Amino acid sequence: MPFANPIRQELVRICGKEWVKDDPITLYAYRSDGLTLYTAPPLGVVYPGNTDELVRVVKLFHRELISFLPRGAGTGLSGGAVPREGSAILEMARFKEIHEVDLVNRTITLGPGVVNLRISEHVKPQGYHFVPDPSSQKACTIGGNVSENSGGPHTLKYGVTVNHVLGLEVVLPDGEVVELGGKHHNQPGPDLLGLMIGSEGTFGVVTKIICRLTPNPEKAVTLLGVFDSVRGACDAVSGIIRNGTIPAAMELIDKTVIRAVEAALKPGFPQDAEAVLIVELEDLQDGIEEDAELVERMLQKSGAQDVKRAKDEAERARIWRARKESFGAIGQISPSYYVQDGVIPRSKLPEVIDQIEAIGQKYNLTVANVFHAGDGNLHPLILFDYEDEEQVENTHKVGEEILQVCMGYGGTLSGEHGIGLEKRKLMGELYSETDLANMQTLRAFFNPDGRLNPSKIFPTPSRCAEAKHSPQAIPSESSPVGAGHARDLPADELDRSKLVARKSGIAV
Amino acid sequence: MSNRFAPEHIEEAQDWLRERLSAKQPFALRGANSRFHPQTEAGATDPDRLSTAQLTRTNFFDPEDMVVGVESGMTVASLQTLLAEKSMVLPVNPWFADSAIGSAFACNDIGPNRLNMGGFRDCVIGIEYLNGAGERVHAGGKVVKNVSGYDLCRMLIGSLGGLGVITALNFKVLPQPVAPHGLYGRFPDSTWLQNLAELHSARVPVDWVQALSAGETGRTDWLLGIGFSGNAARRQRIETEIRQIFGAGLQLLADGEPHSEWPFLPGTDRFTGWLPGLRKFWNLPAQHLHLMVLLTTKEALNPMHLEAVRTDQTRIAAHPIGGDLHFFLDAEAAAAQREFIESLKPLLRRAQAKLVLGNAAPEISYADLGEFARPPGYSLVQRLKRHLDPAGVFHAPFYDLL
Repeated sequence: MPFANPIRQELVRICGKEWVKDDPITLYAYRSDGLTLYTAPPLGVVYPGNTDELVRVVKLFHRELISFLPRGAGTGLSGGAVPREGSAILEMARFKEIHEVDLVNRTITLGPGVVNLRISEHVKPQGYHFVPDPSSQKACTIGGNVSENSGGPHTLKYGVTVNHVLGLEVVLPDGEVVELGGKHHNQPGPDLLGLMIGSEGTFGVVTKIICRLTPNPEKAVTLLGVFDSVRGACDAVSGIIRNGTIPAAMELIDKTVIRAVEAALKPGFPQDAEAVLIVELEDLQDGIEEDAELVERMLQKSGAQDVKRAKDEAERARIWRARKESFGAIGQISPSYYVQDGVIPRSKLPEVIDQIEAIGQKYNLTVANVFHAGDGNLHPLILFDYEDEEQVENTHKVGEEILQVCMGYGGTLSGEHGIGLEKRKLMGELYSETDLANMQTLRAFFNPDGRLNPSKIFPTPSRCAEAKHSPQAIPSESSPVGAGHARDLPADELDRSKLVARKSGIAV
Repeated sequence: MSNRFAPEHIEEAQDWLRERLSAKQPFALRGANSRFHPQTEAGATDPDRLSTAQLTRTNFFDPEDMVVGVESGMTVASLQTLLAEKSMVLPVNPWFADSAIGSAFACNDIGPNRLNMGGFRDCVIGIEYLNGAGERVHAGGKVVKNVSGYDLCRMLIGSLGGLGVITALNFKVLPQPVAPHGLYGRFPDSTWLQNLAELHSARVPVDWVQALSAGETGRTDWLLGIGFSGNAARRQRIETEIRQIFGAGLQLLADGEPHSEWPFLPGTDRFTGWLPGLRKFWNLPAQHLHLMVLLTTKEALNPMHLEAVRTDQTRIAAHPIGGDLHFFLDAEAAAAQREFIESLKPLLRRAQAKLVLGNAAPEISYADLGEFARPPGYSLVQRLKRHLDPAGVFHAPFYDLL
């Protein structure tokens, strides 16, 4: 259902005709993010060009009781940018201006639509980079990173997005513009900046971001430990950390993924290995060899059959390309896959990896592993055939059981993908009712009518309702929406979306 | 005279809070009672006090996972001692060693290594607190990466006791720095800032920088310390680069080695705060003024700011890399302290600086700091306070500024 005519006309007056879209192709394109299991067409898509236009659009939506959500590049993997309840989408792609680079303060001020990798490319000539480097960094935007508090391989040493953002300009759901933080590293009072980051687009729409810049390392040494068991590689992770060394990154890839990336990208990983552990050290040139030799010895002591070292920058780039594009490479060996994101205490890696394998075997599904081993941040890839209904069903069961194991070991549901639609029903198992109610109190403060990105993060009674409801409609889940604007999502439409998503071969 | 209650168990604190909630009776939070607590206006007094000083248990410490969880009344020094037994450290060095960790967290204290090693935002992973309904709330957890739900942990950093009673905190910790050393030297004036700007521009990876104005009245020179760590080759390289910029007159000391002019070197103090040593070094009276000035690194590297402040009565501790200056006034009279604060305001306004009171005469209040006590988005902060504390029991004058 497109925008009602009066609304459409006003949106066009604010943004211009070409920046208001509600044609079927646009609605189809924006029906999901990177997790295509959850799909729903938006009411329409608006592309504001600046904060002033965005504020006017938000005020219009507020006045007309239209639910809405911001969207970056749509690479999210938790369904956080799916327009539930017939929400309109605020596409932030036009906010791609880099306003200022300030090398003394080591900051860059930019719009939320700037692609993550573009930030580091922009300041590379000056010798700086932006640390958070999610695998999707060629496409994902900094606005999305802020929304999800994204990480990446190099967050082991340097931290995630919240550790690299100093200031935000945010438009609240009623159109009020607030500034949080700035170029200062500290401000008096509670850290609302830290609270806003990772709120998954449910508190406000970020329109400007001040990011920290980090000096490029003078030298990086990339080691590849080759292991005959995943458990051995996990043991090496703990050994290195126990020794007091904090590498910039420690990434584990198992044999299934090794096979896939070798077929797709040929990084030169040994195909008979059960696992490889990428360990990267970054520092001054002076002294790094000593640290690298220490890590090499630790890898060998932990049972590595071989320890290779990237000879030059080209070889290092090949290794990292293989790691960052490993999800996509899975397409070489499986019609589809479902990527999970859970976190456990790092020392529990060997036990948990064994349990994950057992869960896969129980359901006769292959679970591949490629993950941020240093952080204990797992990304099990559940391989399945989208044509096989039983496999699809079992895939969900495997994913859920893996997360149960993570929680059982004192871990958590997500390290960097967010909760979104995907994991909200498990939030009640991670947190008590009191804990969740307190989070919802925060949502009620920033987003009192619940019209900004509804139905995300929190479990709702609708989970039961979905099962019990008539097949005609899935009910609205949060506050009432405006008459004639938002609507319930017909269940048959959801089913068709799922089918299309499956056929697309993307992560379902 | 206000009453003080120091429960030994969190349940007792919760019961006490519920009584206050039902009576709508405000109370103030205290940790180890090591801090100055400004009021909104001069003459205002604290209501009853809830102290976390006896909540000092260790909930867990897993060196293998580099995580620790403690009750909020444990002092910063005790926490660092606990971690040091396993050669680990909380990489935040708040100024007040004898503060409760919950208090340091609620005040968002930082130290000379803020830019290089981070602050509480960079290491908190979990929290337990009592909210404005008297409920015991948990957020975050025990793992180092976590985006499951809203980050209530970080919301309470710097909350100054106004949004809830912090009862326990979980942190990500780090191995202790390898072979920490420092280069120390005396400089006749603040031209060392130009050298420091050059060092910053050269991206030399130092751990901390601290400059202290001389301790004797009438002197205008500075003691500068620059810390770094790592294996021998790394340290040698950093030392060479520092000497190339600052000259050869610096003295190299390993952490813990004595220095003739610097009576409180790093070592243990590096992660528990220099403040007690500084107060002694400068022989500051009990009710001296201590202003923490928060500004950008660029502004903090401007020598004019330091020169404009220096008088016979002022003492300065500067951490320019990271934008953190500490101005001390060797005077106990409130009138002199007010006059000093007023004299700073044009400078602070130009530098877009913010102020936090570390110590002062009892008559000094937030009203004296004016706009400089308020962060960006302050109106939102005030509304959030009313939302989370509808009964208004968490007495925290910071939220009542005009």
